[in-house]
Amino acid sequence: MASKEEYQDDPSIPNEAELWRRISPDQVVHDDNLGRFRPTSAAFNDSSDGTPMSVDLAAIVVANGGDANTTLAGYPGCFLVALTAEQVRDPVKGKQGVQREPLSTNPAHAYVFGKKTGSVKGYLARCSRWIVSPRP
Amino acid sequence: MAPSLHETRHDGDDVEPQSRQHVLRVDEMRSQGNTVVSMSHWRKPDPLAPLFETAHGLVLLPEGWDSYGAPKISLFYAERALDLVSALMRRNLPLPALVPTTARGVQLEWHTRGIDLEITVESLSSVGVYFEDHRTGETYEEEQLEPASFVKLDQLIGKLAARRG
Repeated sequence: MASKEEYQDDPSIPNEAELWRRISPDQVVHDDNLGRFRPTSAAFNDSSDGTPMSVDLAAIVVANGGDANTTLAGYPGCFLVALTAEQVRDPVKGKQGVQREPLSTNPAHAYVFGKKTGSVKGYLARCSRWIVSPRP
Repeated sequence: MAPSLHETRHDGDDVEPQSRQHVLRVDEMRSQGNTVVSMSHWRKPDPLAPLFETAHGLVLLPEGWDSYGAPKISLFYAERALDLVSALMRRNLPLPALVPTTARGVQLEWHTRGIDLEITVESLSSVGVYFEDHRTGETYEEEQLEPASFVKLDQLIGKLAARRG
């Protein structure tokens, strides 16, 4: 595991790149202010093992012949949202970086790293877009 | 000295008395080295019963419930959150959503009346608070709000309760 200082934003990941993250059914809330269901901000946190928040780079999934179901495979009941690299990198609201972290089982795996305050997590939650939603 | 949460006064009979005195009795049954926690003895006061039901479900989530390896939810953090909401609830305040966090905790959330208010319980000694009023632009954020400062939490709850849709 890399230390926090070792994570570096990867400029080869374009701002328009989609970052997919699975959402557990327990992480869905209704936002009256937005008038829709969305993921809770708590779904956009770093992992409990100390590594940054995991995502899949959608372009890599697709380049390997996959799709949203590939990222969801093995996790029945989970939903999927997309953020763009530009959104997470937003210098005011996001302040995160994106680093490729391919796994032997998942070449599309990447980290979204950076301090995730309540406001940052809330921003990520509100701007995330459903790819596979609880209410199709 | 600022009042603790349990010393905070509310206006009137906002919550039924027994809501503040909910009893969580935990039966631990050890079977084959595993600890099985039964929360079947929770008293479920109206109007907070839905939250108790949700909390019950959250502490039963298996390890890895979020698909990214999250640990099981702490019974103690869930209980702490229920204590908090029991003390904070008042007339005209809708029930919050209760969701799990990846740090064994739970989060109480309101997203209504132009306000986002989130209370994160991942410790027994403090809570995280995030408040944003989309109508006035007011924001408040504290990662570790200690009980001595819970008067602030009560103020934020008061703003939400006083706000009309």
